[in-house]
Amino acid sequence: MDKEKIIAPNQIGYLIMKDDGGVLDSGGDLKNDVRSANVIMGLLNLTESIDEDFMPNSSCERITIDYGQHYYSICMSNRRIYVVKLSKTHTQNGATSSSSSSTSYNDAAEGNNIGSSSTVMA
Amino acid sequence: METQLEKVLSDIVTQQDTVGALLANRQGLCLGAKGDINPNVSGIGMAISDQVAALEPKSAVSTQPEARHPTICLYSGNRRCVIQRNGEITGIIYKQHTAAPASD
Amino acid sequence: MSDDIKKYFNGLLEKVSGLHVIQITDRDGVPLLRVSQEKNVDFALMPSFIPTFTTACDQASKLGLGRNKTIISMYSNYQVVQMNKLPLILTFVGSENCNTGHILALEHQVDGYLEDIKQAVTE
Repeated sequence: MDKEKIIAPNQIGYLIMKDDGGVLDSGGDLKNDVRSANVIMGLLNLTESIDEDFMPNSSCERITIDYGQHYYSICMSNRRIYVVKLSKTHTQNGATSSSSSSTSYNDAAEGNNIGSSSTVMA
Repeated sequence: METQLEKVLSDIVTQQDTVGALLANRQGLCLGAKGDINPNVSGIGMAISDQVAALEPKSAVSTQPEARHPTICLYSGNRRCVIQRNGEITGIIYKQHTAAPASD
Repeated sequence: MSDDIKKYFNGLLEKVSGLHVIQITDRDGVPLLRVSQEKNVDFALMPSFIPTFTTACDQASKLGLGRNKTIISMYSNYQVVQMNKLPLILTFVGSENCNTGHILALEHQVDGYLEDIKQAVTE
């Protein structure tokens, strides 16, 4: 535990990868989780080919995957891929103490609203 | 036949900051699209939601519907692409944050 | 050039889950490029597939809806998506639950690479 990085106060796990998918560092729930790393690399490969007009090639700098109780935040920076799995149950504390986690929380909550509107239609 | 679908799409597109929305079926084919969105995106959007479904094993997922259908959000500058699956249907929404009167 | 193109199409094959084969032929069915996942598809059927598509495509163009671009054929175990990019024909074979929309979206992505092959065919 002492060797694990704390990226955000409410983190459950983290992965740091090279842009070729090699895992550089990991901890918490995602410790040595090569399977998740592969899934995320596959996801990043797919996002590259999404609509050129709306999101030009590889301009996508951040991805969140929101599961209600927890969410993943994936950031691309300096040829590194940072994946953090965060808990939402403690976000109240996190949101006040850290500005970066407060933006993540807002966006995730917004995603939920959209999600619920798509639930109505189905 | 698709009036209900059209209505839902119109409702989504009139939301704030929304540029376009589309719905895809199980095959990744576009069921309907509204606003400024390329219907061809249905396939890739569906592929993304399929890929993400492999992230958390089904056993670990609780009974909440939200947990089974995570909301995926891609960010690029002031633009966002939101993808959510619900059963056979995948919804894709493009959002663009227009300069707000507040900060930023 | 061929190595580059082959690598690109192998990448596509990996990207679309459930896709078994991508084949590029001329309109008579002469294979110019084929990439495939090791297993599954009965290649013996492939040669007859292409001329049949050409005929079906020509017939479909007579329906008064303009020139036919793509034919999607669904079978109990496979799906075949064929695109008319004369002088080339692009054939995708995938499993029945493969993401059809994703295959169709590839059409625009591969255009650049097809130009190179087209050049080679017309020469």
